[in-house]
Order: sequence, then C-alpha cells, then structure tokens
Amino acid sequence: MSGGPRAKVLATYNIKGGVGKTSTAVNLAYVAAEQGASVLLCDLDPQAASTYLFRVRPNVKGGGRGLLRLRRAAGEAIKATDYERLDLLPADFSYRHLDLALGDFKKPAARLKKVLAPLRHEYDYIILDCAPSISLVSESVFAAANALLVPVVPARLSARVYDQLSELAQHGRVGDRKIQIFAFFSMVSTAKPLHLDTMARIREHAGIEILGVGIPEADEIELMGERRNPVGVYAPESQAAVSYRALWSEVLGRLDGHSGPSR
Amino acid sequence: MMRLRGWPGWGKHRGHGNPREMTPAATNGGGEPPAPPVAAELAAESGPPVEFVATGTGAPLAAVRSVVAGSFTVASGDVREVRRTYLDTFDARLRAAGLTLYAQDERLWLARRDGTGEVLSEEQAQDASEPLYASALGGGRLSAALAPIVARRAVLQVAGVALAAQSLRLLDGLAKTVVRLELESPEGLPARLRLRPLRGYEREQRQFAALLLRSSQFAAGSEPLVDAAVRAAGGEVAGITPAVNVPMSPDEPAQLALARVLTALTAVCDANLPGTRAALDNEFLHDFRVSLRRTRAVVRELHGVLPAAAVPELRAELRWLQVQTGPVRDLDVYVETFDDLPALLPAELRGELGPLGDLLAERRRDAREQMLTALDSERTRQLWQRWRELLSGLAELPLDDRPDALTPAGILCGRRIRKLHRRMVTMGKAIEPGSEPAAYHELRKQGKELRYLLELFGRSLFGEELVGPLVSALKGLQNVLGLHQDRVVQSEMLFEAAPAVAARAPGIGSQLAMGALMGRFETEAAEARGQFRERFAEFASPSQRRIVREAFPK
Repeated sequence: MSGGPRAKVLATYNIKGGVGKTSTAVNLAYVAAEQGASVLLCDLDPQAASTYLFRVRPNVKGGGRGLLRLRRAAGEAIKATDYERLDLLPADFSYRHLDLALGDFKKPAARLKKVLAPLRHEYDYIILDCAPSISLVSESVFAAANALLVPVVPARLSARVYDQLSELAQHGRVGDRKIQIFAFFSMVSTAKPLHLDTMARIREHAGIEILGVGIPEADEIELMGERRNPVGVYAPESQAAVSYRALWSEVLGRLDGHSGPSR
Repeated sequence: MMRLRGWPGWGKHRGHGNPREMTPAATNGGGEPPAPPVAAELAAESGPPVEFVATGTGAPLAAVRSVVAGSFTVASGDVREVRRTYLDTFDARLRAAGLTLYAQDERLWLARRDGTGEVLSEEQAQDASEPLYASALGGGRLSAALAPIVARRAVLQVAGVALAAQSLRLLDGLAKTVVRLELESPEGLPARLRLRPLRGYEREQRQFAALLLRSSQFAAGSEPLVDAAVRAAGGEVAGITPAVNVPMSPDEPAQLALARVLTALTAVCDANLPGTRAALDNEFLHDFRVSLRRTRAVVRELHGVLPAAAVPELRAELRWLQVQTGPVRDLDVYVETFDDLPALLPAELRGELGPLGDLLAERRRDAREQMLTALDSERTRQLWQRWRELLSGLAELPLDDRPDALTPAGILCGRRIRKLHRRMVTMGKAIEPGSEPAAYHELRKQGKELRYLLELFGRSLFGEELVGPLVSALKGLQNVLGLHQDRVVQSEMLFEAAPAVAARAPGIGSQLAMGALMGRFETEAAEARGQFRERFAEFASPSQRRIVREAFPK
C-alpha cells in the first residue's frame, strides 16, 4: 500500500437543516459501494440520523473528545453496515460539543483531517455527513474534505443561495487548496412553478455552478426513516434512486484527480 | 450471470464482495474455507473467519436457528446450487503456497487457504476440464499470481463438489446484521458454516462462535472443504511429489524398511505415468525418472537385502527403463530452456537458432514415441510385475542369499552412508583442475546415491538435525557438479547436432550461433570446475568427516 492518502473525502454541507444532507450522504455512500468502491460514511451530526438509518447504535467510545484525541478511536468505532463495502462511523450524542472538543487542540481546524488520515488508506471514499452550522466543526470539515456536496432547495430565496455559496467558496479555501464545491438542487418538485423558476434563475447566474442532476422531492426519500435503508434498497427503480445514481456519476466525473476505485 | 464470490474481499479491506450483491439477502457464498479455528482465534479481538462443520443429522439451517434462538434472529438468502471444481498441480503447489484455485460459475477463483479466505483474483474461466497453464492465462492478475508458484506445471482438476450455498445473517434487536455466515452443504460431505468478518461486531461473532461450539450440532472445522473433497475423491490431499518420507526405526530389520521405501518410490513412479504418457507437463516424466533413479540407487547400495540371484537382472532392467526415458527428459529441458539461448549470443546471431529449435522439437517428438513404446512394452510390464511381487513378498524370501536382510536398518544404512561419504572424499581429492569431465560426473553420480540414502533413510533413522547439514553441504557440491555436467552435455549435444542442423540450414549463421553457444557452455563448465574445489572443501571438511565418522557405524 502506498503511504499517501487514497480515499477522496466528500462532505455534505449546508448551513441550513432539512435540505437533504443526510439522505444525500446515505444514498451516495450506498451507490458508491454498490458500484464496487469501499466507502466510509462518517456521521458527524449529533442528531445521528445516518446512524439511525443504518440501524446502528449512536455510540462512540470516549465520545467526540475520544474520537478526536485517541489515535485508534475512529477505526475502532467503525461498524459494518448491512451492505458490502459500506461502513459507518456512527454519531454520538456528545458530538453536540464537538466544537468545544476541537477547541482543546492547537490546530483545531486540522484535527479532523488528522483523525481521518489513517482511514483514507482503507477506503476509496469517505463521506462526511455534517451538522448544519458554520462553526469550528465546519472549518475542520473544510480542511479535511476534497469536495463539498451542497444541497440547494430551489424554494429558498435565490439571493440567499448566492450568499451561502459565495460564503462557502470563501470558507472553502484552505491555504492554497481550493475545495471543490458541488452544489446541486435538492427536494425539487417539478410540479411547482416556483421551483422551476428559481432553478432557472440560479443556473443563469454567472458566478454559481450547479450540477446538472437534481434530487426530486419524493415519497421514497421520505420513507427512508421508516424503512431505515437507502432508497436503492427498497425502491431501486424509483426516480429518487435513479437520481442519486446519476448524481454520484456526475460528482465522480467532476472530482479532481478521480480515477475511480482501484478495482 | 450469477456470480459468486467466495470470501468477499477484493483487497486489504475485509467484507468487500460482488458489486452487484448489495441487498443483504443476496450476499453470497462459495469460496475456499479458511484454516481450522483455534481457541486463540475465537478469543481474538478481531479474528479471521472461522469455519464450523455440522455434526448433527438435521438440516443445518434449522440447527443454526435453534442454536441462536433467544440471542439473534436468522435471515436467510436464496439457496444456490453450485458446481465447484478445485484445481491444483499434480504436486499441489498451490496448496503448499497457501492458496486454493477453483472453477465455479464459469469463472476461476484464487483464494487464500488461511483464515482470511480472501479472494485474490477471479476471472472468466477457460474450460477447466482441460489442463490450465499459467502462461496461457493471459497477463492478468490470476496469471501473475499463479506463474511464480506453478511455473510450467499443468493445473489440473483435483476434486469437484456439488453444493448448495446460502448466505445467512444474524440480526440483533434493531434488525441490524451483526454476523454474516455462509452455509455450504456439499453433496456427500458435512455442511460447513463459515463466519465472515464484520467490522465492529466482533463481540457478536465471538458470542455466536461460542454458542455454536457449545451446541452438539457443530464442531470447529478441522480441514478446508477442498481437502475434504480431494480426500473423498480418493486423491492425495498434499499432491504427489517425489519426496518420500517413510518412518522407520534404526533397529528394525533392513528388509522391512527397504520394502516400505521401495514401495513408496514405486507408487510415485506409478502415479506419474499417466501424466508422462499424456505429456501434461514435463515434471511428470522428471518425477518418474527421479523416483526410478532413487529406486536404482537403493537396489545398488542395499543389494544385500535383495536375493543375490535377482539383483543383476533387476538392475539391468531398471537401468534399461531409465535409459528409455532419458532422451525425452534431455530434450524436454532443451526445448523448455530454448528461449533463453538467444540472450547468450551476440546480437547478430540471435535469430540463427531456428533450425536448431526445429531439430530439437522434431527429435523430442521422435523420442517421445520411442519412450511410449518402451513404457507400454511387454518388457516394462514384466519388470513392474516382477518388481511388485518381489517387494510384497520380500520378508518371506529365503535368507541364505540375502545377508543384510535382517541387519538393523540403522546399522546397514549408516554403514553405506559412511562408506559412500568416504568414497566421495577419496574421489574428490583425486580430481584436479585438468581432470576429465567424466571424473566430475562420476563423483556426481556417487553424490546422488549418497543424497538419496540420506534423504530416504538417513533423515528417518538418524534425525534431521544430523542429516540436514550433511545434505546441505552435499547439495552445494552437487549444484556445481550438476551445472558442470549440464554444460558439458549441452555442448556435446550441439556438436552432435551440428551436421543435422547444417543439412537443414545451409547458411553459416546457425553453425556460428551453435559454435558460440558451445563456447559459452564450455566457459561455464570451466567456471563450475573453478568453483569445485571450494565446494568440495566444504563437503569434505574435517568437521563434516568427523560428524560422519561419529554418527554412522563402521
């Protein structure tokens, strides 16, 4: 095995909650593993929605501090999901204080990257499901990630979307390295004229690049909480499942230095 | 197409399976069972997969359900009927290398035999009923993994099993999979249950393993399925190699030890004959000839155990058989190594060896025909028949013309080893830089006899600790003598073949190329002679001679 990092680190991120971050993280992780890649999904949200969806108990020995402090804590906390090649680093309720825990370190923003470094040798992709906020945790995620996946709900005021994305672009610059930002439309309802109109206006905006694939507002996605499974498991032919596969394909195509999993 | 992955795990990361098999119920089984579990593995924080064998008479799935009732619920996948064919070389090189190769679902799978059961490679299969050769498998991962191990040996079917494969999952209270299992029920063999590693659920796996072992329905697996299948098919699990390891006691009558050794050697000869006849690969004939030569060495060195009246004819007939098979072996080696020859030549002559290659291939075909005629002849049949009768009835034969028959094996063999060693020391001392090649060759022949005695009898009678270093020093000497002899013979072959090559290729290129090769071989023979003194000094060192004097009786 080569000594350098291998896994690409992707983070679902948005300041707002309820925009489809967790469903994106869970479904893209599932799609990637289904296609043959080894994937680690890290649930960094104290609400532990990803953890719940995979039927894993939200419990990390030593909590958030232990995760950040101890060399092997992350690796030892990982749980296999019910799906081949897809593992989960569960959330812990103590993650609500992750900001404070990060503050204990000299270089808090670099801490998460350090925690993930050994795991990058084990996986093709590491997907971070982040809590909605701008905080020290966000800084840490930016430092660790190769790319951010930003769900944008077209019902929101477009001006706010511009602000959010340009803000991200600023936050997303770490030293000389620019994080790739993949914004995409989430919870899209093509039956709503407002959605279509907003999407068209945002796409026309010169300063913002939005991925071509959007994720629909769909019953199948809402059912995830009840089924406790990725959409692709119980509704593989649904528009939602197809959209997640297409989104993953587009992300892979745009990811810098991507050559696909080493299979 | 249905694809089965034995032990899903494409790389270093455990638990990676078929990309198409994502739903829990569809994960699949079929692979080389891991090594038998030991208590330490069960107790380990994250041990390798563990295999269990059903010991009860009931349906294994029902047995699993009853064993885990109250602790886990069992989710079962579809039952798949699978035909699996295990493959290895005749001498089980893959097994010795810790690997298992099998054909299943029109694919070839190479997996580790160890606890990880990791599938190292899988690719579209050729017809696995025909012998496979690493060189003909293309340049993929499978070919790259096999080539250094099997070299030019044919990879053959060693056993086949029809089995029902089923994936099982144990679920906890949240209906989360905490243990993955592969259940395989081979026809005619006990069902096997393999525990697959699942990261983060080691405690549950240990709990399940403990439940199984406490039940009377499963026991820890004692041998991989491939071995059980080979055994059930009447095959030799470890393959057939020319190595013969016959246990014996120094005080038992020599005739008993000798009969067992010669019977074992004859079995190796027999086993290699079909492959020799079919020319599956060159090693069948080689191993046949090695065993025949060892047989001759034993007859010659320990002839006093055999009826004196029968020995001369026996030796003559065994020698005759050796001679009948000699040219093919020589030509096998020439043809096999022919591609290495151009590199020994100046660039302008490298393309000039074609006519020689054609001649050798033609001679090999002719020699094989003659050899097969000899092997199938009445003379050979009678030789083997008389030989078998002699061996099976040896202990009942009169003793009057078998003076060594009842001599303790340790005394008789020790005496011969000591005498041969002394003779070699004397012969070697007489060899000088200017000695004829024949002198080196004679010493080499004695060396072979000594080595055979040490390996066939010495190890068992006097122990590896004593015999090992002697064999090692002898090997060093024999390597130099072998290289010398090979180069002398190759040079002679080229000289002898020159007129025939000239008749095929009127130009001067081939003759020049062959001349250059002769020069090269003669130089290498001279270099081997240059190394002789040093190697012989190691073999005949005062300390080695003292060991021989003290360890082996006069």
